[in-house]
Amino acid sequence: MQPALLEVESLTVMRGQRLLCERLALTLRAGEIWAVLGVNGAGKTTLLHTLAGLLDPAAGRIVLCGTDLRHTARRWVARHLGLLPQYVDDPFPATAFEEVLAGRHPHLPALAWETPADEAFARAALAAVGLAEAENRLTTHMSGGERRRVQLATLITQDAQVWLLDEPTNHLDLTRQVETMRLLQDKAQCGRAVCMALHDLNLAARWCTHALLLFGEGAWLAGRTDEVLTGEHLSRAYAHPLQAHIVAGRQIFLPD
Amino acid sequence: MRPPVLILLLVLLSAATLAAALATGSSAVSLRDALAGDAMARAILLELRVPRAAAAYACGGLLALSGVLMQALLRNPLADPYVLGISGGAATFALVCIALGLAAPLVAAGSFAGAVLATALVFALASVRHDFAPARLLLTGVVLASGWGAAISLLLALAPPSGVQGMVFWLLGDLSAAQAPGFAWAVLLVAAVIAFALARSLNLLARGAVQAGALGVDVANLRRGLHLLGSACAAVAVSSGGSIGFVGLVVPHLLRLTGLRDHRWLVLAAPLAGGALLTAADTAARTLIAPQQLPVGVLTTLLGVPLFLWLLRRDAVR
Repeated sequence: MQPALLEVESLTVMRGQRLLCERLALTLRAGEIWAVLGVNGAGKTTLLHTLAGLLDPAAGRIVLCGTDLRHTARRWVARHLGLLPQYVDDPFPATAFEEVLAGRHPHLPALAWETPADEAFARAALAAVGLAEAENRLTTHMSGGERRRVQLATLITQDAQVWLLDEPTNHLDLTRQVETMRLLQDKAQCGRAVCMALHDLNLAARWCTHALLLFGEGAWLAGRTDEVLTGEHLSRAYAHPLQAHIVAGRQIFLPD
Repeated sequence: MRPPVLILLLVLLSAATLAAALATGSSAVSLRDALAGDAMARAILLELRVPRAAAAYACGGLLALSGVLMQALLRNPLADPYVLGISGGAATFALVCIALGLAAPLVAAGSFAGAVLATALVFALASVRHDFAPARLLLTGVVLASGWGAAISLLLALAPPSGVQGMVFWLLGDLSAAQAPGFAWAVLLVAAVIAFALARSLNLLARGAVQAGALGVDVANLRRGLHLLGSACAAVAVSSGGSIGFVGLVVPHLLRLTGLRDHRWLVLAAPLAGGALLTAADTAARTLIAPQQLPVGVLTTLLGVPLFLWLLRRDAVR
Protein backbone atom coordinates (compact mmCIF):
# COMPACT_ATOMS: atom_id res chain seq x y z
CA MET A 1 0.00 0.00 0.00
CA GLN A 2 1.23 3.49 -0.85
CA PRO A 3 2.35 5.74 2.03
CA ALA A 4 -0.27 7.95 3.68
CA LEU A 5 0.49 11.62 3.02
CA LEU A 6 -2.50 13.31 4.63
CA GLU A 7 -4.49 11.62 7.37
CA VAL A 8 -7.73 13.13 8.60
CA GLU A 9 -8.99 11.84 11.91
CA SER A 10 -12.44 12.56 13.25
CA LEU A 11 -12.43 16.04 11.72
CA THR A 12 -15.38 18.32 12.36
CA VAL A 13 -15.54 21.48 10.29
CA MET A 14 -17.91 24.33 11.03
CA ARG A 15 -18.49 27.66 9.33
CA GLY A 16 -19.97 29.99 11.91
CA GLN A 17 -22.83 27.95 13.36
CA ARG A 18 -23.16 25.74 10.28
CA LEU A 19 -21.90 22.16 10.48
CA LEU A 20 -20.15 21.28 7.22
CA CYS A 21 -18.72 17.86 7.98
CA GLU A 22 -18.79 15.83 11.13
CA ARG A 23 -16.12 13.40 12.29
CA LEU A 24 -14.63 13.07 8.84
CA ALA A 25 -12.05 10.32 8.51
CA LEU A 26 -10.03 9.72 5.39
CA THR A 27 -6.48 9.08 4.27
CA LEU A 28 -4.87 10.54 1.15
CA ARG A 29 -2.20 8.20 -0.12
CA ALA A 30 0.45 8.76 -2.73
CA GLY A 31 -0.96 8.08 -6.16
CA GLU A 32 -4.56 8.84 -5.24
CA ILE A 33 -6.70 11.53 -6.83
CA TRP A 34 -9.65 12.61 -4.74
CA ALA A 35 -12.67 14.58 -5.86
CA VAL A 36 -14.56 16.62 -3.27
CA LEU A 37 -18.13 17.02 -4.46
CA GLY A 38 -21.17 18.79 -3.10
CA VAL A 39 -23.60 21.60 -3.76
CA ASN A 40 -22.64 25.27 -3.49
CA GLY A 41 -22.03 26.09 0.15
CA ALA A 42 -21.63 22.43 1.13
CA GLY A 43 -18.21 23.29 2.52
CA LYS A 44 -15.76 22.17 -0.16
CA THR A 45 -13.59 25.30 0.02
CA THR A 46 -13.73 25.51 3.81
CA LEU A 47 -12.72 21.85 4.04
CA LEU A 48 -9.78 22.35 1.67
CA HIS A 49 -8.63 25.43 3.59
CA THR A 50 -8.90 23.45 6.83
CA LEU A 51 -6.89 20.59 5.36
CA ALA A 52 -4.29 23.16 4.29
CA GLY A 53 -4.10 24.42 7.88
CA LEU A 54 -5.41 27.88 6.96
CA LEU A 55 -8.51 27.44 9.13
CA ASP A 56 -8.77 25.66 12.45
CA PRO A 57 -11.15 22.70 12.61
CA ALA A 58 -13.83 22.60 15.29
CA ALA A 59 -12.50 19.20 16.34
CA GLY A 60 -10.26 16.43 15.12
CA ARG A 61 -6.76 16.02 13.84
CA ILE A 62 -4.94 16.40 10.53
CA VAL A 63 -1.62 14.63 10.07
CA LEU A 64 0.54 15.79 7.17
CA CYS A 65 3.43 13.51 6.21
CA GLY A 66 3.49 12.06 9.70
CA THR A 67 3.30 15.37 11.60
CA ASP A 68 0.27 16.84 13.34
CA LEU A 69 -0.63 20.03 11.51
CA ARG A 70 -1.15 21.90 14.79
CA HIS A 71 2.51 21.54 15.68
CA THR A 72 4.01 22.81 12.45
CA ALA A 73 5.16 26.13 11.10
CA ARG A 74 3.39 27.53 8.03
CA ARG A 75 6.57 27.31 5.97
CA TRP A 76 6.97 23.62 6.73
CA VAL A 77 3.35 22.99 5.75
CA ALA A 78 3.87 24.87 2.49
CA ARG A 79 6.84 22.69 1.61
CA HIS A 80 4.68 19.58 1.95
CA LEU A 81 1.23 20.76 0.94
CA GLY A 82 0.15 23.15 -1.79
CA LEU A 83 -3.23 24.75 -2.39
CA LEU A 84 -4.66 26.18 -5.59
CA PRO A 85 -7.19 28.73 -4.32
CA GLN A 86 -10.53 29.16 -6.01
CA TYR A 87 -9.81 32.80 -6.74
CA VAL A 88 -6.55 34.68 -6.89
CA ASP A 89 -6.85 38.35 -7.70
CA ASP A 90 -3.92 40.65 -8.17
CA PRO A 91 -4.41 44.28 -7.26
CA PHE A 92 -0.78 44.85 -8.29
CA PRO A 93 0.63 43.78 -11.65
CA ALA A 94 3.08 40.87 -11.88
CA THR A 95 4.39 38.89 -14.82
CA ALA A 96 3.49 35.24 -15.21
CA PHE A 97 7.08 34.31 -14.46
CA GLU A 98 7.20 36.36 -11.23
CA GLU A 99 3.94 34.86 -10.09
CA VAL A 100 5.06 31.30 -10.76
CA LEU A 101 8.48 31.85 -9.19
CA ALA A 102 6.68 32.73 -5.94
CA GLY A 103 5.95 29.02 -5.63
CA ARG A 104 9.55 28.55 -4.51
CA HIS A 105 8.98 30.81 -1.47
CA PRO A 106 8.59 28.02 1.13
CA HIS A 107 11.76 26.32 -0.10
CA LEU A 108 13.98 29.40 0.20
CA PRO A 109 15.69 30.55 3.42
CA ALA A 110 14.40 33.86 4.79
CA LEU A 111 16.76 36.30 3.08
CA ALA A 112 17.71 34.20 0.06
CA TRP A 113 16.93 35.11 -3.53
CA GLU A 114 15.78 32.60 -6.09
CA THR A 115 18.62 30.67 -7.69
CA PRO A 116 18.88 29.84 -11.40
CA ALA A 117 17.62 26.37 -10.44
CA ASP A 118 14.45 27.93 -8.99
CA GLU A 119 14.02 29.98 -12.16
CA ALA A 120 14.44 26.89 -14.30
CA PHE A 121 11.79 25.20 -12.15
CA ALA A 122 9.37 28.07 -12.77
CA ARG A 123 10.03 28.07 -16.53
CA ALA A 124 9.45 24.32 -16.69
CA ALA A 125 6.17 24.76 -14.81
CA LEU A 126 5.01 27.45 -17.24
CA ALA A 127 5.91 25.15 -20.11
CA ALA A 128 3.95 22.33 -18.48
CA VAL A 129 0.78 24.44 -18.59
CA GLY A 130 1.46 25.60 -22.14
CA LEU A 131 2.52 29.15 -21.25
CA ALA A 132 6.25 28.96 -22.00
CA GLU A 133 5.96 31.94 -24.35
CA ALA A 134 4.01 34.04 -21.86
CA GLU A 135 6.52 34.40 -19.05
CA ASN A 136 6.93 38.16 -19.46
CA ARG A 137 3.25 38.94 -19.87
CA LEU A 138 1.44 40.63 -17.00
CA THR A 139 -1.18 38.36 -15.48
CA THR A 140 -3.52 41.36 -15.30
CA HIS A 141 -3.54 41.33 -19.12
CA MET A 142 -4.29 37.61 -19.37
CA SER A 143 -7.58 35.81 -19.92
CA GLY A 144 -9.24 33.99 -17.04
CA GLY A 145 -8.12 30.61 -18.33
CA GLU A 146 -4.52 31.74 -18.81
CA ARG A 147 -4.43 33.12 -15.28
CA ARG A 148 -5.81 29.84 -13.98
CA ARG A 149 -2.96 28.02 -15.70
CA VAL A 150 -0.42 30.46 -14.25
CA GLN A 151 -1.82 29.65 -10.81
CA LEU A 152 -1.54 25.95 -11.56
CA ALA A 153 2.08 26.51 -12.61
CA THR A 154 2.70 28.21 -9.24
CA LEU A 155 1.43 25.04 -7.57
CA ILE A 156 3.68 22.90 -9.75
CA THR A 157 6.62 25.11 -8.75
CA GLN A 158 5.74 24.69 -5.09
CA ASP A 159 6.41 20.98 -5.65
CA ALA A 160 4.59 19.69 -2.57
CA GLN A 161 3.62 16.11 -1.70
CA VAL A 162 -0.05 16.89 -1.20
CA TRP A 163 -1.90 18.95 -3.81
CA LEU A 164 -5.19 20.55 -2.84
CA LEU A 165 -7.03 22.26 -5.69
CA ASP A 166 -10.19 24.32 -5.41
CA GLU A 167 -12.06 23.97 -8.70
CA PRO A 168 -8.90 23.73 -10.84
CA THR A 169 -10.87 23.58 -14.10
CA ASN A 170 -12.62 26.95 -13.55
CA HIS A 171 -12.27 29.17 -16.64
CA LEU A 172 -10.55 26.40 -18.62
CA ASP A 173 -11.72 25.30 -22.05
CA LEU A 174 -12.38 21.63 -22.73
CA THR A 175 -8.89 20.85 -24.00
CA ARG A 176 -7.23 22.58 -21.08
CA GLN A 177 -9.50 20.80 -18.62
CA VAL A 178 -8.36 17.45 -19.96
CA GLU A 179 -4.72 18.58 -20.04
CA THR A 180 -4.98 19.74 -16.44
CA MET A 181 -6.49 16.46 -15.30
CA ARG A 182 -3.82 14.56 -17.18
CA LEU A 183 -1.10 16.67 -15.55
CA LEU A 184 -2.58 15.99 -12.11
CA GLN A 185 -2.76 12.29 -12.92
CA ASP A 186 0.94 12.35 -13.88
CA LYS A 187 1.77 14.04 -10.59
CA ALA A 188 -0.21 11.43 -8.66
CA GLN A 189 1.62 8.67 -10.48
CA CYS A 190 4.91 10.31 -9.44
CA GLY A 191 3.91 9.81 -5.80
CA ARG A 192 1.83 12.89 -5.00
CA ALA A 193 -1.62 12.85 -3.43
CA VAL A 194 -4.14 15.08 -5.21
CA CYS A 195 -7.44 16.30 -3.79
CA MET A 196 -9.69 18.70 -5.67
CA ALA A 197 -13.07 20.31 -5.30
CA LEU A 198 -14.99 19.83 -8.52
CA HIS A 199 -18.40 20.58 -9.97
CA ASP A 200 -18.10 18.37 -13.02
CA LEU A 201 -19.18 14.87 -12.02
CA ASN A 202 -18.00 13.38 -15.26
CA LEU A 203 -14.49 14.76 -14.85
CA ALA A 204 -14.50 13.30 -11.35
CA ALA A 205 -15.72 9.92 -12.58
CA ARG A 206 -13.20 9.85 -15.41
CA TRP A 207 -10.04 11.01 -13.60
CA CYS A 208 -10.38 10.57 -9.86
CA THR A 209 -9.57 7.37 -7.98
CA HIS A 210 -11.53 8.41 -4.90
CA ALA A 211 -14.35 10.75 -4.04
CA LEU A 212 -15.68 12.57 -0.99
CA LEU A 213 -19.32 13.55 -1.15
CA LEU A 214 -20.55 16.30 1.17
CA PHE A 215 -24.29 16.06 1.75
CA GLY A 216 -24.62 19.17 3.90
CA GLU A 217 -25.40 19.30 7.62
CA GLY A 218 -22.28 17.30 8.44
CA ALA A 219 -23.03 14.09 6.53
CA TRP A 220 -20.40 12.75 4.15
CA LEU A 221 -19.38 9.68 2.21
CA ALA A 222 -15.83 8.86 1.20
CA GLY A 223 -14.31 5.99 -0.74
CA ARG A 224 -13.34 4.69 -4.13
CA THR A 225 -14.93 6.56 -7.02
CA ASP A 226 -16.88 3.54 -8.30
CA GLU A 227 -18.41 3.00 -4.87
CA VAL A 228 -19.19 6.62 -4.03
CA LEU A 229 -20.29 7.96 -7.39
CA THR A 230 -23.62 6.25 -7.93
CA GLY A 231 -26.86 7.72 -9.14
CA GLU A 232 -28.37 7.18 -5.70
CA HIS A 233 -25.64 8.92 -3.72
CA LEU A 234 -25.34 11.81 -6.15
CA SER A 235 -29.09 12.35 -6.25
CA ARG A 236 -29.00 12.69 -2.48
CA ALA A 237 -25.96 15.00 -2.47
CA TYR A 238 -27.35 17.36 -5.11
CA ALA A 239 -30.98 17.02 -4.05
CA HIS A 240 -31.78 16.47 -7.69
CA PRO A 241 -32.43 13.18 -9.52
CA LEU A 242 -29.33 11.98 -11.38
CA GLN A 243 -28.87 8.84 -13.44
CA ALA A 244 -25.76 6.91 -14.37
CA HIS A 245 -25.43 5.91 -18.02
CA ILE A 246 -22.79 3.92 -19.80
CA VAL A 247 -21.61 5.71 -22.93
CA ALA A 248 -18.70 4.37 -24.97
CA GLY A 249 -17.78 2.07 -22.12
CA ARG A 250 -17.57 4.88 -19.59
CA GLN A 251 -19.95 5.85 -16.84
CA ILE A 252 -21.45 9.31 -17.12
CA PHE A 253 -23.99 11.07 -14.94
CA LEU A 254 -26.86 13.06 -16.30
CA PRO A 255 -29.36 15.14 -14.34
CA ASP A 256 -33.02 14.45 -15.07
CA MET B 1 15.10 49.37 -16.53
CA ARG B 2 16.89 46.78 -14.43
CA PRO B 3 16.21 47.26 -10.70
CA PRO B 4 19.87 47.66 -9.64
CA VAL B 5 20.30 50.39 -12.26
CA LEU B 6 17.21 52.16 -10.97
CA ILE B 7 18.50 51.96 -7.40
CA LEU B 8 21.83 53.42 -8.51
CA LEU B 9 20.03 56.25 -10.31
CA LEU B 10 17.98 56.96 -7.21
CA VAL B 11 21.12 57.08 -5.07
CA LEU B 12 22.62 59.62 -7.48
CA LEU B 13 19.36 61.58 -7.53
CA SER B 14 19.33 61.59 -3.73
CA ALA B 15 22.89 62.90 -3.60
CA ALA B 16 22.04 65.62 -6.12
CA THR B 17 18.92 66.78 -4.28
CA LEU B 18 20.74 66.80 -0.95
CA ALA B 19 23.61 68.80 -2.47
CA ALA B 20 21.15 71.25 -3.96
CA ALA B 21 19.38 71.57 -0.62
CA LEU B 22 22.66 72.41 1.10
CA ALA B 23 23.73 74.85 -1.59
CA THR B 24 20.58 76.95 -1.71
CA GLY B 25 18.64 78.96 0.79
CA SER B 26 17.19 82.33 1.56
CA SER B 27 20.66 83.73 2.37
CA ALA B 28 23.21 83.80 -0.44
CA VAL B 29 25.57 81.38 1.26
CA SER B 30 27.22 78.84 -0.98
CA LEU B 31 28.80 75.52 -0.16
CA ARG B 32 32.14 76.98 -1.24
CA ASP B 33 31.98 79.78 1.39
CA ALA B 34 31.33 77.27 4.12
CA LEU B 35 34.10 74.98 2.99
CA ALA B 36 36.49 77.97 2.76
CA GLY B 37 36.06 78.46 6.47
CA ASP B 38 33.62 81.39 6.64
CA ALA B 39 32.21 81.02 10.19
CA MET B 40 28.86 82.59 9.35
CA ALA B 41 28.45 80.48 6.24
CA ARG B 42 29.45 77.39 8.17
CA ALA B 43 26.90 78.11 10.91
CA ILE B 44 24.11 78.59 8.38
CA LEU B 45 25.07 75.37 6.66
CA LEU B 46 25.49 73.18 9.73
CA GLU B 47 22.76 74.60 11.92
CA LEU B 48 20.09 75.39 9.36
CA ARG B 49 20.49 73.65 6.05
CA VAL B 50 21.96 70.29 7.07
CA PRO B 51 19.29 69.49 9.68
CA ARG B 52 16.55 70.75 7.38
CA ALA B 53 17.72 68.73 4.39
CA ALA B 54 18.28 65.66 6.55
CA ALA B 55 14.81 66.00 8.05
CA ALA B 56 13.21 66.43 4.63
CA TYR B 57 14.99 63.39 3.24
CA ALA B 58 14.15 61.13 6.20
CA CYS B 59 10.56 62.33 6.22
CA GLY B 60 10.09 61.66 2.51
CA GLY B 61 11.76 58.26 2.82
CA LEU B 62 9.54 57.28 5.74
CA LEU B 63 6.38 58.36 3.96
CA ALA B 64 7.24 56.47 0.78
CA LEU B 65 8.21 53.32 2.67
CA SER B 66 5.07 53.53 4.75
CA GLY B 67 3.06 53.88 1.53
CA VAL B 68 4.56 50.69 0.10
CA LEU B 69 3.84 48.80 3.33
CA MET B 70 0.26 50.08 3.67
CA GLN B 71 -0.55 49.29 0.04
CA ALA B 72 0.70 45.72 0.47
CA LEU B 73 -1.08 45.33 3.82
CA LEU B 74 -4.40 46.64 2.54
CA ARG B 75 -3.91 45.15 -0.94
CA ASN B 76 -5.11 48.46 -2.23
CA PRO B 77 -3.13 50.60 -4.65
CA LEU B 78 -4.93 53.70 -3.36
CA ALA B 79 -3.75 53.27 0.22
CA ASP B 80 -1.27 55.76 1.63
CA PRO B 81 0.38 56.28 5.03
CA TYR B 82 -2.53 58.40 6.20
CA VAL B 83 -5.38 56.22 5.05
CA LEU B 84 -5.81 54.65 8.49
CA GLY B 85 -6.12 58.00 10.21
CA ILE B 86 -2.59 58.41 11.52
CA SER B 87 -2.22 61.94 10.22
CA GLY B 88 -5.63 62.82 11.63
CA GLY B 89 -4.67 61.72 15.12
CA ALA B 90 -1.31 63.43 14.83
CA ALA B 91 -2.87 66.64 13.51
CA THR B 92 -5.53 66.79 16.20
CA PHE B 93 -2.94 66.54 18.95
CA ALA B 94 -0.54 68.92 17.19
CA LEU B 95 -3.28 71.51 16.78
CA VAL B 96 -4.19 71.25 20.44
CA CYS B 97 -0.53 71.83 21.30
CA ILE B 98 -0.38 74.82 18.96
CA ALA B 99 -3.59 76.22 20.46
CA LEU B 100 -2.03 75.90 23.92
CA GLY B 101 0.94 77.88 22.64
CA LEU B 102 3.48 75.10 23.21
CA ALA B 103 6.95 75.22 21.66
CA ALA B 104 7.77 73.32 18.46
CA PRO B 105 9.42 70.27 20.10
CA LEU B 106 6.32 69.79 22.25
CA VAL B 107 4.07 70.11 19.22
CA ALA B 108 6.14 67.38 17.56
CA ALA B 109 5.92 65.20 20.67
CA GLY B 110 2.19 65.81 20.86
CA SER B 111 1.65 64.89 17.25
CA PHE B 112 3.66 61.71 17.74
CA ALA B 113 1.46 60.81 20.70
CA GLY B 114 -1.59 61.46 18.53
CA ALA B 115 -0.26 59.23 15.78
CA VAL B 116 0.41 56.43 18.26
CA LEU B 117 -3.06 56.79 19.73
CA ALA B 118 -4.66 56.74 16.27
CA THR B 119 -2.72 53.58 15.39
CA ALA B 120 -3.63 51.87 18.65
CA LEU B 121 -7.31 52.72 18.11
CA VAL B 122 -7.33 51.21 14.62
CA PHE B 123 -5.41 48.19 15.86
CA ALA B 124 -7.80 47.53 18.72
CA LEU B 125 -11.00 48.17 16.78
CA ALA B 126 -10.15 46.36 13.55
CA SER B 127 -8.53 43.29 15.07
CA VAL B 128 -10.74 40.23 15.49
CA ARG B 129 -9.14 37.04 16.84
CA HIS B 130 -5.67 38.56 16.47
CA ASP B 131 -6.01 39.14 12.76
CA PHE B 132 -7.48 41.83 10.58
CA ALA B 133 -9.02 41.47 7.19
CA PRO B 134 -7.89 44.29 4.90
CA ALA B 135 -11.43 45.46 4.17
CA ARG B 136 -12.32 45.83 7.84
CA LEU B 137 -8.99 47.45 8.62
CA LEU B 138 -9.43 49.95 5.79
CA LEU B 139 -12.99 50.85 6.75
CA THR B 140 -12.09 51.20 10.42
CA GLY B 141 -9.19 53.47 9.50
CA VAL B 142 -11.21 55.57 7.07
CA VAL B 143 -14.06 56.06 9.55
CA LEU B 144 -11.65 57.03 12.32
CA ALA B 145 -9.87 59.37 9.91
CA SER B 146 -13.10 61.23 9.25
CA GLY B 147 -13.63 61.46 13.01
CA TRP B 148 -10.21 63.05 13.37
CA GLY B 149 -11.07 65.31 10.42
CA ALA B 150 -14.10 66.63 12.32
CA ALA B 151 -11.95 67.29 15.38
CA ILE B 152 -9.47 69.21 13.23
CA SER B 153 -12.23 71.35 11.70
CA LEU B 154 -13.57 72.08 15.15
CA LEU B 155 -10.14 73.15 16.41
CA LEU B 156 -9.65 75.42 13.38
CA ALA B 157 -13.07 76.96 13.86
CA LEU B 158 -12.53 77.66 17.54
CA ALA B 159 -8.87 78.73 17.41
CA PRO B 160 -8.00 82.43 17.78
CA PRO B 161 -7.07 84.01 14.42
CA SER B 162 -3.46 84.42 15.52
CA GLY B 163 -3.02 80.66 15.90
CA VAL B 164 -4.77 79.61 12.73
CA GLN B 165 -1.89 80.27 10.35
CA GLY B 166 0.48 78.04 12.29
CA MET B 167 -2.17 75.36 12.34
CA VAL B 168 -2.81 75.56 8.62
CA PHE B 169 0.92 75.36 7.92
CA TRP B 170 1.15 72.26 10.08
CA LEU B 171 -1.80 70.71 8.27
CA LEU B 172 -0.35 71.43 4.85
CA GLY B 173 2.96 69.87 5.79
CA ASP B 174 5.86 72.02 6.83
CA LEU B 175 9.42 71.12 7.72
CA SER B 176 10.53 74.47 9.11
CA ALA B 177 10.11 73.23 12.69
CA ALA B 178 11.76 69.87 12.03
CA GLN B 179 14.58 69.31 14.44
CA ALA B 180 16.91 66.49 15.42
CA PRO B 181 16.43 64.40 12.28
CA GLY B 182 18.68 61.71 13.79
CA PHE B 183 15.71 59.87 15.24
CA ALA B 184 13.81 59.92 11.94
CA TRP B 185 16.89 58.59 10.15
CA ALA B 186 17.35 55.81 12.68
CA VAL B 187 13.70 54.77 12.32
CA LEU B 188 13.97 54.92 8.53
CA LEU B 189 17.06 52.71 8.44
CA VAL B 190 15.68 50.14 10.87
CA ALA B 191 12.29 50.08 9.13
CA ALA B 192 13.90 49.67 5.70
CA VAL B 193 15.98 46.73 6.94
CA ILE B 194 12.95 45.02 8.51
CA ALA B 195 10.84 45.70 5.40
CA PHE B 196 13.57 44.23 3.21
CA ALA B 197 13.66 41.10 5.35
CA LEU B 198 9.86 40.75 4.99
CA ALA B 199 9.77 41.71 1.33
CA ARG B 200 9.40 38.26 -0.22
CA SER B 201 6.39 37.65 2.01
CA LEU B 202 4.99 41.03 0.95
CA ASN B 203 5.02 39.88 -2.66
CA LEU B 204 2.81 36.98 -1.63
CA LEU B 205 0.54 38.95 0.68
CA ALA B 206 -0.24 41.29 -2.21
CA ARG B 207 -1.90 38.26 -3.83
CA GLY B 208 -4.22 37.64 -0.95
CA ALA B 209 -4.27 35.91 2.40
CA VAL B 210 -5.17 32.46 1.07
CA GLN B 211 -2.45 32.37 -1.56
CA ALA B 212 0.11 33.81 0.87
CA GLY B 213 -0.86 31.33 3.57
CA ALA B 214 -0.74 28.44 1.13
CA LEU B 215 2.79 29.43 0.18
CA GLY B 216 3.97 29.46 3.79
CA VAL B 217 3.39 33.01 5.03
CA ASP B 218 2.10 33.43 8.59
CA VAL B 219 -0.49 35.96 7.44
CA ALA B 220 -1.87 37.12 10.81
CA ASN B 221 1.55 37.90 12.23
CA LEU B 222 2.77 39.49 9.02
CA ARG B 223 -0.25 41.80 8.93
CA ARG B 224 0.24 42.85 12.53
CA GLY B 225 3.92 43.52 11.93
CA LEU B 226 3.22 45.46 8.74
CA HIS B 227 0.60 47.60 10.39
CA LEU B 228 2.96 48.48 13.22
CA LEU B 229 5.94 49.10 10.94
CA GLY B 230 4.00 51.20 8.42
CA SER B 231 2.37 53.15 11.24
CA ALA B 232 5.67 53.76 13.00
CA CYS B 233 7.13 55.21 9.80
CA ALA B 234 4.11 57.41 9.23
CA ALA B 235 4.01 58.55 12.85
CA VAL B 236 7.66 59.64 12.84
CA ALA B 237 7.25 61.38 9.48
CA VAL B 238 4.08 63.19 10.49
CA SER B 239 5.48 64.35 13.80
CA SER B 240 8.53 65.84 12.09
CA GLY B 241 6.93 67.33 8.99
CA GLY B 242 3.18 67.59 9.49
CA SER B 243 0.76 65.94 7.06
CA ILE B 244 2.83 66.12 3.91
CA GLY B 245 0.53 64.76 1.25
CA PHE B 246 1.04 62.68 -1.85
CA VAL B 247 4.58 61.38 -1.26
CA GLY B 248 3.38 58.16 0.34
CA LEU B 249 0.83 57.52 -2.38
CA VAL B 250 2.67 58.64 -5.45
CA VAL B 251 6.20 57.34 -4.88
CA PRO B 252 5.28 53.63 -4.76
CA HIS B 253 3.26 54.11 -7.94
CA LEU B 254 5.99 56.04 -9.71
CA LEU B 255 8.32 53.17 -8.97
CA ARG B 256 5.79 50.56 -10.09
CA LEU B 257 5.25 52.48 -13.30
CA THR B 258 8.97 52.26 -14.04
CA GLY B 259 8.51 48.49 -13.92
CA LEU B 260 9.57 47.81 -10.35
CA ARG B 261 7.20 45.16 -8.99
CA ASP B 262 9.20 43.01 -6.59
CA HIS B 263 8.84 44.31 -3.02
CA ARG B 264 12.46 43.43 -2.33
CA TRP B 265 13.39 46.27 -4.68
CA LEU B 266 10.39 48.46 -3.87
CA VAL B 267 11.23 48.75 -0.17
CA LEU B 268 14.75 49.85 -1.08
CA ALA B 269 13.79 52.19 -3.89
CA ALA B 270 10.87 53.86 -2.08
CA PRO B 271 12.91 55.50 0.71
CA LEU B 272 15.44 56.76 -1.83
CA ALA B 273 12.83 58.16 -4.20
CA GLY B 274 10.65 59.56 -1.41
CA GLY B 275 13.64 61.19 0.23
CA ALA B 276 14.80 62.76 -3.03
CA LEU B 277 11.31 64.00 -3.92
CA LEU B 278 10.69 65.61 -0.57
CA THR B 279 14.18 67.13 -0.36
CA ALA B 280 13.74 68.69 -3.80
CA ALA B 281 10.27 69.94 -2.90
CA ASP B 282 11.45 71.37 0.38
CA THR B 283 14.36 73.17 -1.29
CA ALA B 284 11.88 74.74 -3.68
CA ALA B 285 9.55 75.58 -0.78
CA ARG B 286 12.37 77.43 0.99
CA THR B 287 13.67 79.31 -2.01
CA LEU B 288 10.90 80.00 -4.55
CA ILE B 289 9.61 83.13 -2.84
CA ALA B 290 12.30 83.50 -0.15
CA PRO B 291 12.40 84.75 2.53
CA GLN B 292 8.76 83.71 2.60
CA GLN B 293 8.44 79.90 2.94
CA LEU B 294 5.82 77.83 1.22
CA PRO B 295 4.27 74.78 2.89
CA VAL B 296 6.18 71.86 1.39
CA GLY B 297 3.10 69.62 1.28
CA VAL B 298 1.59 71.92 -1.33
CA LEU B 299 4.71 71.63 -3.47
CA THR B 300 4.96 67.83 -3.26
CA THR B 301 1.42 67.67 -4.50
CA LEU B 302 2.00 70.25 -7.23
CA LEU B 303 5.10 68.32 -8.38
CA GLY B 304 3.49 64.92 -7.98
CA VAL B 305 0.19 65.47 -9.77
CA PRO B 306 1.54 66.21 -13.29
CA LEU B 307 4.33 63.66 -12.96
CA PHE B 308 1.93 60.95 -11.93
CA LEU B 309 -0.64 61.80 -14.60
CA TRP B 310 2.06 61.82 -17.27
CA LEU B 311 3.39 58.41 -16.24
CA LEU B 312 -0.12 57.00 -16.01
CA ARG B 313 -0.99 58.18 -19.51
CA ARG B 314 2.31 56.97 -20.92
CA ASP B 315 1.66 53.58 -19.38
CA ALA B 316 -1.86 53.40 -20.77
CA VAL B 317 -0.84 54.47 -24.28
CA ARG B 318 1.98 51.89 -24.51
